[in-house]
Amino acid sequence: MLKVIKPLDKDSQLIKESLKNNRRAQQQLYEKYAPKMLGLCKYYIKDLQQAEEIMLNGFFKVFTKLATFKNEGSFEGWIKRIMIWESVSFLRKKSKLVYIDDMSYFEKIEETPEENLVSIENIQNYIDELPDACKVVFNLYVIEEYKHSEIAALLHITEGTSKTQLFRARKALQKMLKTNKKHYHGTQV
Amino acid sequence: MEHKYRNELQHRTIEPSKDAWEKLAGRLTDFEKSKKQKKWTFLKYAASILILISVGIYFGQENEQTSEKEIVAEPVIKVQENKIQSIVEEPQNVIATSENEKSSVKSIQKKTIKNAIVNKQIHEAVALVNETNEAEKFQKSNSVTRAQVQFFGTDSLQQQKIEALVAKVQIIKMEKGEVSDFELDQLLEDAQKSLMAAQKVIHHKSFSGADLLAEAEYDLDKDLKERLFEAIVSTLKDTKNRFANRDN
Repeated sequence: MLKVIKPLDKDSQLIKESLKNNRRAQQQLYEKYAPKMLGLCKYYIKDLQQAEEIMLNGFFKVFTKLATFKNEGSFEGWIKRIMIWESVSFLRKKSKLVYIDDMSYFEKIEETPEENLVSIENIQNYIDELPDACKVVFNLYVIEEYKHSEIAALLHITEGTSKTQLFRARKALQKMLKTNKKHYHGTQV
Repeated sequence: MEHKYRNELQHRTIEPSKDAWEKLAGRLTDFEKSKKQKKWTFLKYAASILILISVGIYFGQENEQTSEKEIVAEPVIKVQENKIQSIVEEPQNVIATSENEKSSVKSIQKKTIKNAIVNKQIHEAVALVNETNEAEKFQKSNSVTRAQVQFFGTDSLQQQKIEALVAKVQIIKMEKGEVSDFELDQLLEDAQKSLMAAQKVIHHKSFSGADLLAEAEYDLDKDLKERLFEAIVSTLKDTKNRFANRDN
């Protein structure tokens, strides 16, 4: 019976070399994935410098725990999970994620005028305005496509709380978009 | 709408600062150094523990060996005593074996001293040497040669036997503190036997075991009777003299 030998892709070679503490290979892996991972960390952390710090912590863990990566999934997916975990841990330590059930908070959201309504930077700005707990649940559910059960397990909350937080985040974002749209159309006319 | 934003956000990239990699590389280098240091410290501790264990095992074995040697060394005096006893009992063999015995006694002494030094029991070694020296002196003083037997005859032989007996009793006292009745009887019996054997040698007679025993008992009885008789006579003489003096 013929055995199919999978040829080593570039990532596998780089991982192999990185395991030997080859700094050059580590740098290549970093340069390949760092921009994407910084973008990911930025969903969760408003401040870019802090987000970069979280990303560096994540990469430090990636290289020091590289031996535990078993090629079962994609390497990018494995790094992403580490980055998300680092971001959530940071938010938990920093501000202690508070899951607000009071709707009044979302009703008081200021209507901030934005010129470019659909730009990704605006969306990011709106997401940044959300409370941390809502933001994390929204990012995990909408962007990372986690299920509520997975979010609940990751954040140590119930599925109900996860659903509530997502509902609140969506409502707040819709309000912000609507307000800005009105403003946009108003100025246009 | 969410789907649209998702696609855009998922593929969003932000370029990190230029010195970000330098920071990360520095942290990784520090981590590797500390890991190596931890490894070395672990190895150092492991090596020191191994050394301690091996030293412990080595000294443990040494102690076991020395304690075994001690047990072996203890019967040396008894062996010497037996030899002395055999020399006293068999005077005809003394001349031939005395040299070998001396050398064997000396070698035993050396062994025991060596063992004692290894075991750091110098005091015991000194005591052992003293004891063996005494035993040697005793051996010298009590050894009876065939020539002596022929020259001095049975009376002097008896006297020597008595001295030898006394010496043996002293040795037993030294060792055990006191001499039991059984040991005394045993010594007496041995001395009788050897005395009879010596007498046989002098008169070139052939003898059986039963004869030897009978003769020994007879001689002993005779000797005791004579002594008793002498004692009674002397007592009687004393009383007679006292009565005579009082009458006068």
